[in-house]
Amino acid sequence: MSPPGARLRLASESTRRPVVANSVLGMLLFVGSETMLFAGMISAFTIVRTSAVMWPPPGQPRLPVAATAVNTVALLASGLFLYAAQRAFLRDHRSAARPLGIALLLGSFFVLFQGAEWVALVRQGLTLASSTLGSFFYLIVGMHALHAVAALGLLGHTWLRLRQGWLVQSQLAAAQVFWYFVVGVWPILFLVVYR
Amino acid sequence: MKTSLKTITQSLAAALLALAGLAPRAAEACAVCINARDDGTQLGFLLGTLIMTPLPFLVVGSIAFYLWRRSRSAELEVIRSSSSQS
Repeated sequence: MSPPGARLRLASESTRRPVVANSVLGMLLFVGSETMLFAGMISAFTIVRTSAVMWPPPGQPRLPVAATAVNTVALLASGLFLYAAQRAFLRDHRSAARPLGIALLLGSFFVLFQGAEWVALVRQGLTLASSTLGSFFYLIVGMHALHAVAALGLLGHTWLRLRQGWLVQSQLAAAQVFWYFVVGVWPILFLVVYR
Repeated sequence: MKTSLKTITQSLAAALLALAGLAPRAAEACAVCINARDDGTQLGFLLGTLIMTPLPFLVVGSIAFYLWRRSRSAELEVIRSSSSQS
């Protein structure tokens, strides 16, 4: 009877394989760097906001908090459906298509709703150059929207691969990491920018 | 000769730093902090620092922790499978 340590060493030497797929590790590193990007923008926004005499700046519209809160719920729900898709994928590949499709639809709804909100705000006079609120709002929320669109593209590709029967676990996991980042960072941005 | 040059350079650098410390307004070491005249701006800088300081550690630490957990569970799986075979 060999000791457990020796057995482990022998076993791990004979079956060496990566603990995380390269695509997932790459996505984790990307998400890590993007976290710093958003932290930098939040930090700059906090300094500008706390040093402002009046907030929002005079003549600028108030941001639509209630409507965006509803939109936030849609985005959080898409994250839950993606989690359900992953659980379903482990049981039976084909059963993951529906929750993944719903997550995709909810994410698309979020981006379209944000676009409609932007159009309304521009009409009310909030532009990139109108004030520091406008500059930071479009920069921070726009950067998030850019990430959401890119992640939706990846989710859409993942859904297509699943429908065609070509989806591998690592691609779903990488798409999950990206989408969870988009979902996870949004409530923070909402609380910082919209309050 | 090499060592003495290094010592002179280090001494000069230390002297310059000491001079800057004696005259902080002339040195204006921080390009942004000198603008923090009121309480609001100072609070903003403080909050910004509080957000930015721990974040790199959190990000790198989270990724490292995730990899460590995956590695550990993979090793346990190997032990379990080799135990069941023997």
